[in-house]
Amino acid sequence: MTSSGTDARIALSVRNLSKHYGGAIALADVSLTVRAGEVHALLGQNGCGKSTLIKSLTGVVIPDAGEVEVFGEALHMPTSDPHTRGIAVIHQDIGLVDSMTVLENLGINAHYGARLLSPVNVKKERAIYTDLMHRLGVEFDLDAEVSSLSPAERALLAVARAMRLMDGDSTEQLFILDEPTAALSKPEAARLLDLMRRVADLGAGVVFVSHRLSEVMEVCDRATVMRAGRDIVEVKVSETSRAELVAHMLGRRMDDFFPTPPAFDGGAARLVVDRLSGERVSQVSFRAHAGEVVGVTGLAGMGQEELPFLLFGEHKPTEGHVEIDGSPAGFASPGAAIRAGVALVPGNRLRDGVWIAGTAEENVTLPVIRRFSSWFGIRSQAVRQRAFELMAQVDVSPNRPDYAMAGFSGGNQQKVVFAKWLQLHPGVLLLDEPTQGVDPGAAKALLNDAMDAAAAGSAVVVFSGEHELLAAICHRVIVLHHGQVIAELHRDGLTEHALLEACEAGPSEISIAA
Amino acid sequence: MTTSTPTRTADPALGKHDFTTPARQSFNWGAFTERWALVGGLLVLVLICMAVFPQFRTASLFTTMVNAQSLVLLLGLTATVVLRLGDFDLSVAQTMVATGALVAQLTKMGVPSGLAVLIGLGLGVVVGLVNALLVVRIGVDSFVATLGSFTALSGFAYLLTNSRIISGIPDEFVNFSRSQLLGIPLISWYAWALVIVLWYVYQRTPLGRYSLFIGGNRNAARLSGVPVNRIRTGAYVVSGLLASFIGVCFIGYFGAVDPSVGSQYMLQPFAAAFLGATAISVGRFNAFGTVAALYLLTVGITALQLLGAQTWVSNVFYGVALMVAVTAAKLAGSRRGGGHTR
Repeated sequence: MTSSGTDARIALSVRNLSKHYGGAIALADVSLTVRAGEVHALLGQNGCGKSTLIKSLTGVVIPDAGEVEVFGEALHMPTSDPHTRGIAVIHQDIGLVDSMTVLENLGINAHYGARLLSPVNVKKERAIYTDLMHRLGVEFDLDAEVSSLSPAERALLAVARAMRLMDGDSTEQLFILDEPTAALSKPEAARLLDLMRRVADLGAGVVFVSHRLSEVMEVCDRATVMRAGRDIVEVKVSETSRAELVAHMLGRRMDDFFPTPPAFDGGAARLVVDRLSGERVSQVSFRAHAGEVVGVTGLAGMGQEELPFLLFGEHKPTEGHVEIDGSPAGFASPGAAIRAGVALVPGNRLRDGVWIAGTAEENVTLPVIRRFSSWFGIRSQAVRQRAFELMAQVDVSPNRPDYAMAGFSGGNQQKVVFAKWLQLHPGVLLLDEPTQGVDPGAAKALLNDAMDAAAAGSAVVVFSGEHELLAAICHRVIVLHHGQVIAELHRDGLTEHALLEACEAGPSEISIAA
Repeated sequence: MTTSTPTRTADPALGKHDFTTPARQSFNWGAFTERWALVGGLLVLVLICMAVFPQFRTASLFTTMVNAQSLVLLLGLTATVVLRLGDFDLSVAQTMVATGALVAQLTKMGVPSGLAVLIGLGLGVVVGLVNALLVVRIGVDSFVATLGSFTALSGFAYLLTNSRIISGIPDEFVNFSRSQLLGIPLISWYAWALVIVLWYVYQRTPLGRYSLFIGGNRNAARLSGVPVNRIRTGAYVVSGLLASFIGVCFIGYFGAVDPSVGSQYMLQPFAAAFLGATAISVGRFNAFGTVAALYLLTVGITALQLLGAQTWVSNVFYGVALMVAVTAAKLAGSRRGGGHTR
C-alpha cells in the first residue's frame, strides 16, 4: 500500500489521438500523460473533446488514429474490456439501481464473485467490501437500499465498486472521474476529493474532470487543458492560477467568474413564502423582492432540491402558503405557476428540462407555441424566426433552431432552457443549480442573463450547493438544514466561507459515515 | 448527417447581432434520404410490380388493395394517437371487435341503429377511460395494462356473440361502409379523412407539439406548463372512441361479426405505425408515414401472393416489418446523436 518507486511510472499515455465525425473534428492529435500517484485534471469547455477522449479509452468511441498505453502496455483500439486493463470510469450519472441494496449494487460489476448460475457467497462478498471500505476510510450499511443514500454517498459507492475490480494487490489502476462532484455540495465533494487523493496516494493514476476549478486547485497535481479538440497545455497546478487555467480553456482571459448582482435597495415583495412544508421541507418562510437575487443553499438532501418543485406546483405542500405579487399562489400544477408569472429552470436538465431528441426550436418555443397558432395551424416561419431570435439573445452556438438538442453541448442546451423561460419575463425566476455541468464562460453568460432579469424587476431565487457562486451573485442567502431555515446571510457578510460554516453549523449527526 | 454535426466554435461573435435572417439551411442529403426512403421504396416497388405482374397494370387491383387495407389503416392511425405520447394502447383492435359485436347484437334485439351506434361509441369511451385510469392515474405500465383490456374485451366479444358469428347486419351499416364515392367505398374515404385530420393536429397545432414533448420527456413537458395527464387521458379516450367508430365501420364492411377476428388486427396497425415513424417526419409517429408504410406492406404482400405464396406470408411479412422498423428507428436515433431530426 505504498507508492514507493511509482513516482516515475506513467499510468496513462495518450499520443496523437484523433477522431472525426464526418467533417467535424472531435479530437485532433490529442496527447495526455498521467503519472502514477497523481491526480490529473482534464479541463476544458463543454464540447472541447474531453468526453470523446474518455469514451475512446473505454471503447465507446473508436478513434481514427493515435496510440494509448496504460502502465506501459499498449491498449488496442477499440478496447473491449477496459477494466481488465485497470481502467475504471466513474460518471456523474453513477449507474446505481435505487431499489437494490448497497451490497447488491457493489457486486454487479464483479459478477458477485461467482459464475452465472453458481450461488453467490454473500458472506465472502460482505467481507470483501467491508475490507475495501475500511481501506478507503468510508463506511456503509451494506443492507441499506441505495435510494436512502445521499448523492455524496452514491458517488463514494461508485468509487468503492470500481475499486473491487482493481484488486488490492495491483497498483496498476487508472481511475477516471467524470464530474463526480457536480451534484454534491461542498463538504460532500470534499469527502470525495479526499478519497480521490487517497486512491492516488496508494499508487493509482487518477484523471479528474470537473468544471469546479476550486476543487482542481485544491486536489490536483497537474492539469491538461483542452480546447476545440486539442490539448492546449499541460501545467503543474501549483505553478498556475485559476485565471490562467480559465484563459487556457476559453482562449481569452476572463477576469471575473461571476457577474455581480444589480443594485438593490428594496422593492415590492414578489414572492412571499410562509411556513411552507412538504417533502423534506418544513416551515420555510422567506421573501424575495423585485430586483433581488436570493440564494437558497444547504447540504445535499437538506431540502433545497425539493423547495423549487414545491413553489412551482410540481409537488404538493402539506401546509403553509405562498403568495406571488400579493395574491395567494398554492399552485395545483406547473401550468398554473407559469400563468402566475413563475418560471423554473430545473436542476436536472436531461430529466426535467429538455426533450433531447426534439429540436432546439421545439424546446425553446414550447411555452409560447399557442401564440403562433392560427386557423391554418402553427405559423412555422414565425416560430422559426422567434426561435432564432431567442437563441441569438442568449448566444447559442451554433444558432441552428433546427438541430436536435442532443447536438448541442451542455452549456448551449442550458442557454436554450434559459431562453425558453426568459421570454416569458417571469416575475419570479427560480433557478435550480443553473450552472451545473456548464463551463465557466457559458456559466457567466447564463448568470448575466439572470442578473438582467433581476435588474428588469424579477425576483430571482437561486437554489445551489455552490457557495462561491451564491456568494458572488446573491443579495441574500438562506441556509436550509433538515428542511428548515437555520441562517440568513446578507450581502455585506456574504462569503463562500461564511456560507460553508452556516451549512455545517447544524447538528453534526447528519454528516455521513466518517 | 455528417454535414449537420454542430461544432462548437470559439468565436463569440458568431450568431450574434444577426436577428433578422434565420440561418440559411443548406440542403441536407442524408436527412432527405432518410425522410423519403420509405415513400421512394413504395414507388419503386409499385413500378417493379407493374413491370412484372400484368395484374398490377389494372386499376381494380389497386382499389382492391386500398379497400382491403382501410380497416388496418384506420387502426394504425388510431394507434399513433397514444404512441405519440410514449404510451401504448394495444386494445384498439379488440375495442373495434367488441363494439361491432355490441352494435350488431343490439340491432338484432331491435334497438334502433342510431342508438346502437351511440351505445357502441360509449363503449369506446369507457374503454379509453379505464385504460387512462390504469395508465395515467394509477401509473401502470401502458403495455401491460392495455394488453389486459385487449384480452378482457376479446372475452367480452365472445360473451356478446355467444361465441358465434353474427350475420345479417342491417343495410344501413353496410351502406355506411361500402357505398361508393368515385368508385371507392366510403370506408377508404374515412381512413383518408382521418389521415388529414391527424396530419393537421400532429403537424400544425400546439397540441401536436405537446404530444411529442410528452412522448419525448414527460417531466420537461409538465414543468413547461403542458397539462400532461389531461392530454394523456384525452388521448386514451380519443383512441377508444376512434376504435369503436372503426368497429361500426367493421360490421358494415364485413356484414357480419366474427368474435375471433380481433387478434388478427392486433399487430398490423402497430407494424404500420412504427414503420411509418421512420419516414416523412423521421423518429416521430405521423399520419402520412403510417399511410406510406401500410401501402408498402400491402403491395409487398400482394406481390408475394401473386408469386404463389400462402396466406401465412402476411404474418411473417408484418412481423418482420415491425422488427425492421424498430431496428431502423433505433439505429437512426443513435446515429442522429449529433445531427438533427427533421
